[in-house]
Amino acid sequence: MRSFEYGDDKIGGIELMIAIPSMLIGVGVLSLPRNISSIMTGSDGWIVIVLTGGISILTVWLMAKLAASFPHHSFLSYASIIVSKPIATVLTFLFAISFISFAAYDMRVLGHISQQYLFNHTPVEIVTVSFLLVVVYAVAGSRAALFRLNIIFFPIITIILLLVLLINTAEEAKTNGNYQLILSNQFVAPPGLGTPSGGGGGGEKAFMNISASGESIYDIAQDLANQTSKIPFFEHIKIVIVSEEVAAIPQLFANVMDVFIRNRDTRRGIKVIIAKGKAKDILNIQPEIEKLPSKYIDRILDNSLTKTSELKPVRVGDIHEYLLTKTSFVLSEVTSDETSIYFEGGAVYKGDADKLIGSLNLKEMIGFELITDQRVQGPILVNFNNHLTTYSLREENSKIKIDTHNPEDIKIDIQIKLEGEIQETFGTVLLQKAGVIEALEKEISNVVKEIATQSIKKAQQELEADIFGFRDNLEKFHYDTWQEIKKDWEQGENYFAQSTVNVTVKAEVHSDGVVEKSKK
Amino acid sequence: MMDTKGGESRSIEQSTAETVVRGPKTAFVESLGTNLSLLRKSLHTTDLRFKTHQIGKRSKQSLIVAYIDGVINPAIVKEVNRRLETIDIDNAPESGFIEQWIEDSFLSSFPQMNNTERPDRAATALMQGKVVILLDGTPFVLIAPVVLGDMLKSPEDYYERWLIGSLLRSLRYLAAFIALLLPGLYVALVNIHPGLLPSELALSIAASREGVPFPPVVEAFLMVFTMELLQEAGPTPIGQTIGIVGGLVIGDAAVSAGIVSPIMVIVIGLTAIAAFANPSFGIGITFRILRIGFIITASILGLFGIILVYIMINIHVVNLKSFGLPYSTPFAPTMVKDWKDLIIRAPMTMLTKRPNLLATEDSKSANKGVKDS
Repeated sequence: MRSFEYGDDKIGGIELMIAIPSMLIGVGVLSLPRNISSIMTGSDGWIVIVLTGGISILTVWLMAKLAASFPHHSFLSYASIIVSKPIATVLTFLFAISFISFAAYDMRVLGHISQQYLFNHTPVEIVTVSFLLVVVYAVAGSRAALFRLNIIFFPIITIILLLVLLINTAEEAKTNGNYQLILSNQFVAPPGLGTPSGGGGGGEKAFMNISASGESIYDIAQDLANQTSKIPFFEHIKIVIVSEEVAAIPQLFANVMDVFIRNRDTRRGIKVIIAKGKAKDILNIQPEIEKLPSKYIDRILDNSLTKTSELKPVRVGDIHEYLLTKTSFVLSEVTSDETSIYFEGGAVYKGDADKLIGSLNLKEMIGFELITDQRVQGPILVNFNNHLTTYSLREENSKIKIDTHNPEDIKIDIQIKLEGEIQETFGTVLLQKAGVIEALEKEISNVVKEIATQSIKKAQQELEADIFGFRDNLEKFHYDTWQEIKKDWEQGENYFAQSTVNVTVKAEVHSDGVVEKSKK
Repeated sequence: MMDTKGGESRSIEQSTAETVVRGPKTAFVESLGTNLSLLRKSLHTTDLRFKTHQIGKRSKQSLIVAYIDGVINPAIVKEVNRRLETIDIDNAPESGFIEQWIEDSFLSSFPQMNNTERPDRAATALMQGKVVILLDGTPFVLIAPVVLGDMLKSPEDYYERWLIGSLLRSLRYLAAFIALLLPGLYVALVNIHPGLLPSELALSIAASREGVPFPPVVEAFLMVFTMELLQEAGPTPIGQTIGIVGGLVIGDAAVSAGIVSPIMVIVIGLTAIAAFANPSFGIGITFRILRIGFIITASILGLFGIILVYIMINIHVVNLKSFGLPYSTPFAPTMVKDWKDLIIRAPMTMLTKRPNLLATEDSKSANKGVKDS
């Protein structure tokens, strides 16, 4: 007679195989990347993980081997056989202490993390104690059930682990400053939004703009809260509009951004743009389709990927990185009238100077985007045989190669590859004719090269700011040279401005439309 | 003294509690003899065994444990018989009395035995290596042991082609999660973590909740309570009237009166539908009970509370047993061989083995499908 195979007191291989990783992963995985990156420099963190991982695997293997050679024995009983009973008791006691502190640590981290991200006002004790009670409930059951529990949760843990590993963390920057700032907040007034059944909210405005001034952004935000019945809610902030004036004062932009970077409610996906003139005016526009100006601007920024000369939105998270590495970067610059916003070009923020130093016009923006490989799409106008032809960009790809043999004269090679199709032709260009497409491709390449060269010229001579991220490339591929010239890259010797930049463009026309010609 | 042998009994009719689109229409009746013949009709094997017990100190009812010798694990039969012998009651008007007397844990909200009034379902269970307990005087027979996965299986999964069966099965798993979690999740997200909602959704929820005087948790309880009342009042002679009145009250009047938000109505409606999508009435009630726990903790501890309760339910399920069989098999203890008839239902020709988890004496239930030469 065969009885049930899953005896309740035995733990099988699969159960152990799953239980050990679940325990090791625990809660430490949440803080592991951060801890490693704060100790290690550069990208050497993986060595630590591989080494310690190897040591852990070895010890676990030894322990498992030892346990397996004494089947049906508890730790205490087989330890007593190997090393006499008193020593085994001491060892077991030490193990118990280690596991208790392990549990305590996990509990503490869990409480800390949930307080940071979920419950700002709940005491840590409530969170940890309620979790502890659940753990006690689990332990109160049979031991085999505990292993079954591990098996059930293992797939969930694995998925979360993979997600967490995709997120990296970085250290925070320190800042100081005292300026009189004006903060305008756009609050959503739900009644104005209307429900689909309620016929769309009538004439009520769906938003209200409230401004206050002060020295610290958070302080002003609290002031704003006192002005309305609504509580400001940072988790749904969509865009931050900073006026040109503020960004032009050294350090101030970084200080303003600090609150958005540091606050635990704000997301790293908040988009940041620069307003020409007062930022407050932009919030006052009355868009024709959308009910909320902020939503309207947000949408426009999202759509910008399909238009040339509009920059893909820069987010708070990106800015955090730029500020940390003192990299120069470009933000979209907008103006507004009564009903809509317009893109004026790009505002250039210089990392070393910590302020806005100039701007790019729309054409220079196209060049900037093409070089920085932002997957630009949209039209490029070409004059072909004295007639206007519109080339529509579908795919764009750029590669940067830097030759650092002579630090005094760094050679930067930029290759831009374009793929697209002909959208419209003025005049009668017969594209089927042999050689016409090739000639057109050549013309497009020339036009794009011109645009790109101009942007580089502006950056090198007028702005003296490396907005194309060459420094990133240098640090990654020419680390030694970079260490030498780092200080004099954008200032002093100004290697950036002195480097020779060579642009090659290869444009391809993939399709010329569905007809041979549309007119005689 | 009067001879009551024979007597009047209801003729065989269609099943009312478990209707299927495709499949045998007959259902068990109150007479034990008829029920046995219904079982016999579809199982001509000589291995079909009936063990008779007498239940009820005063009522002296017959109870029969049916199983297939040579298939079932004898340990199960032994355990079932042992438990049945401990029954010491005056009478048992329904097999529910038996179920509650011999189940593993009366504290659990999970049903540890299945009941059915369909002979085809009982026959399938017997062939899988389970016991069927028939009681004189009730059309509902008990099937034991069961695991959580069994609760989400319907006979139609096997009667329709495997792709349809698999889709319906996985849909039912999804429904189980909706029935358990949806109101709790809604309360947690709207009440405690509005920042986790996408902005657009948060705005539309905020717009629809404008003017509702209660916090989401009170709203949720109001609606759950009304829903439960409706379900309780449903199976009466004027059930249809109640349904219409109830539908009006929850669906429209409560919203226009500004007591609940339209989104809450959708949430509760979806939950109710999902709870009834489960073929087992018992597990549906379990979900309805546990759902309340989720709503309460969600309103206090948000998503963290939901996770806590979810872990607790899992702890309970892995500790629970049905006649010695862990309730969470074949998930844990992991029995990969049984997974082809769990969330998906593999093609018939591939289901050649009886459930591994029942540790049957003869594990083979069919030969591999032979291709046309």
